[in-house]
Amino acid sequence: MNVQTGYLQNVDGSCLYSLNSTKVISSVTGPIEPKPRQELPTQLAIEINLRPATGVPTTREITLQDKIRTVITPILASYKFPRQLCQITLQLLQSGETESLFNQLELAACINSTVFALVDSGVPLKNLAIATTIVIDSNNNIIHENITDDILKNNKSVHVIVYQIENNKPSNLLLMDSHGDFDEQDVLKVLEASESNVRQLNKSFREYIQSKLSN
Amino acid sequence: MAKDIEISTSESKFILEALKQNYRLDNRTFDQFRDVKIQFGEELGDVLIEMGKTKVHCKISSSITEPYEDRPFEGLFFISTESSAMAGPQFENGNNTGEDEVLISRIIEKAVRRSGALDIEGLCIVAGRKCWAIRANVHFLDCDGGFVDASCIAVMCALLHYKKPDITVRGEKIIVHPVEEREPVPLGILHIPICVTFSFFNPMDMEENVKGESNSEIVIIDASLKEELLREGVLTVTLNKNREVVQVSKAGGLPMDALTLMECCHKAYSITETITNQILKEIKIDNEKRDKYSAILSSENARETS
Amino acid sequence: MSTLVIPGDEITINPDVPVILGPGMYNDPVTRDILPVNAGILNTSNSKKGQTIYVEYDSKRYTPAVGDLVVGIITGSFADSYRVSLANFSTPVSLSYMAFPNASKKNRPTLVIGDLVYARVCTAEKELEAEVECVDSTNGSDAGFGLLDGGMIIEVTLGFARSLLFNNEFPLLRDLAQHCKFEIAIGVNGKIWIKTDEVKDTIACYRSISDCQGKSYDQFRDIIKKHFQEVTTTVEE
Repeated sequence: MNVQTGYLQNVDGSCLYSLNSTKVISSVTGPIEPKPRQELPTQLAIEINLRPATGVPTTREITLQDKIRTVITPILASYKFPRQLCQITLQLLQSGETESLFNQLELAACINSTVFALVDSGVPLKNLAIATTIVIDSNNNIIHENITDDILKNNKSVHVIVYQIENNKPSNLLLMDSHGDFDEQDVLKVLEASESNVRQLNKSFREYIQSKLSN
Repeated sequence: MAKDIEISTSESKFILEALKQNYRLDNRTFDQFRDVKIQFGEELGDVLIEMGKTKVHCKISSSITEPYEDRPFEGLFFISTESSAMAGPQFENGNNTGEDEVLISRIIEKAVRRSGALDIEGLCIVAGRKCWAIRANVHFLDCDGGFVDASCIAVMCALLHYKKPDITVRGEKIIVHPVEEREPVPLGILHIPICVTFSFFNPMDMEENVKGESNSEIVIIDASLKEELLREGVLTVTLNKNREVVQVSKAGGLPMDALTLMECCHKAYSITETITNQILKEIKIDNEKRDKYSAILSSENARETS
Repeated sequence: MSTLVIPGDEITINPDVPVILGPGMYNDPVTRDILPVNAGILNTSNSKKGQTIYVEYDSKRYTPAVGDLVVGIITGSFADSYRVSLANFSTPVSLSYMAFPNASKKNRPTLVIGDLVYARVCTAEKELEAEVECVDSTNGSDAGFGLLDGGMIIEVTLGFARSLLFNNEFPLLRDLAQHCKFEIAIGVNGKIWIKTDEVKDTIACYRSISDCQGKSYDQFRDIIKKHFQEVTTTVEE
């Protein structure tokens, strides 16, 4: 994982995130004045925009946006800023997977990048959320790191798992997005593998913040 | 259009006063173009341009499609320049109808596509049936002025860097060879247009149609965001290394005379020359990095190249 | 004590003493948990009133809090108040015509759109529009508030503005003062107004303050020296 926060200058928070060949940049501005139609009377409204590396946004990007929203909404301390807006923009620089078939690597990268950009912007968060991708290949092996496009193409099932991080440990499951053939046993195995991944990512992020603060 | 950046009277007065005394906030001279930083991504045709704090990313994608009926011998080439709130909250998501946004995409379109920088006839595969469609996706990441100049460099770098998969035509059948199987082929670039933007200020608040002695307008190259917000006129000159003027774009603002225009073109030419050389040099370095065998297989003699 | 906290971390709180929550801390209305909501250094201190907890973190977006000294731009005027912007794109705050020294129904302040003001935040409820004032309400004097005439604005991060304003050990202003005379107004909303007698000095101050962000104290002197030298050589050219 490679993280660089505060990468952009005109927005309040930003994060350039890359994992293997997936590379995404996210920006956060807020709390700012919303347009009247976006305003929520008691909470911070969120606007998420995701733009693909090539071409124009399609239904595929809208699906990703909605999934990111379901993860971000529960972790924001949104009652702290009623009638305000938090604007999140994501730009994929390199998808690292065949875009017509998969979106799992991008989804995990987008979620992590968004959370780190939110931390950078100072928008209040109750918890962190960290995402990871797990593949079960045709030989029933669980692959949890260095996932490439070829591994994805050889999948029996592919899963994106997002955990909430509470007190430096993964606690609640925020999202599990699975495609392919799998049974109950597989799900349990996937959850176990993802937890250790998430722990690892959380540890690296904490070290990154620590080193940034001590400068 | 989303809300604008607010700039106070004191600030605008100060910036103008400083310009009058020959100072710019970022310690550049009036004719100084910011240093251009070119970074290539992992994939071909993936370029990030940094000019000061301005950041523009460009990525080329290609596909095979049918040509337009009235142009059977030509391929397709699009440039998409959509701004998003990432470059700053002044840009609205999904709304590119603002005057600035439209101007930026029109100028780039004219500079690169309409000037014939890309050989679109070379994209034809089977006349009237199949051709390549090349798409340049420009992403504005961070805005500190000079979007036109930076995106033009980004698009040209990405086009020069990109290589499309090799193909074989057998009658009606087209075989696309994967990159691992056959070396991909670069695009045909006919010339490299470079945009240079001049901003005009009128600190004395006097306007003259015929420039006389009291003409005190200030001309600066490659304005930063604050300078862009305050300028009263703008001129974009697009040139290439062959001393050809590709485009002169001036949409309103302060009037200017022929002499100033000539002077601007001359200044722009020397900038164009340096940037073109820089682009070609960095593309060459990157190509060599990617191709380990080129040095061994090259038949080029060791000789002085100017 | 410098411990890093990240949103969601557990914090040990003495349950017998009243707790005062500062910036970066949040009492969840549903679970009643006390949580840090920003990533930064945790600060706790005990006093007679209770234990104060806050997180020191750096950010760019200002949200009004009572008592803050801010620099704002007048963006509009209404029947009885001005509209003031404290940060680009944020919800504007209001500045009443009565919040000036010697204000009365007949004696209206003369600020116009685009003017800069130094003011104090007097109400900041999250559901309501925040208000600022240009008067010390205890004695009715101007207390240094009001119009900032001329000069230049430098935008910095909020953490940097706070160190400039509150940290007496912070050497930047002392080092600057060795090079030129200046007037300064520091807003914790990340806007610093500076005015000197000459344009070149202001430019040098502008560049020095912008460049010193994120640098260590011992580098300040050299940065400032470099910028002052640059402005003098440009003139001679």
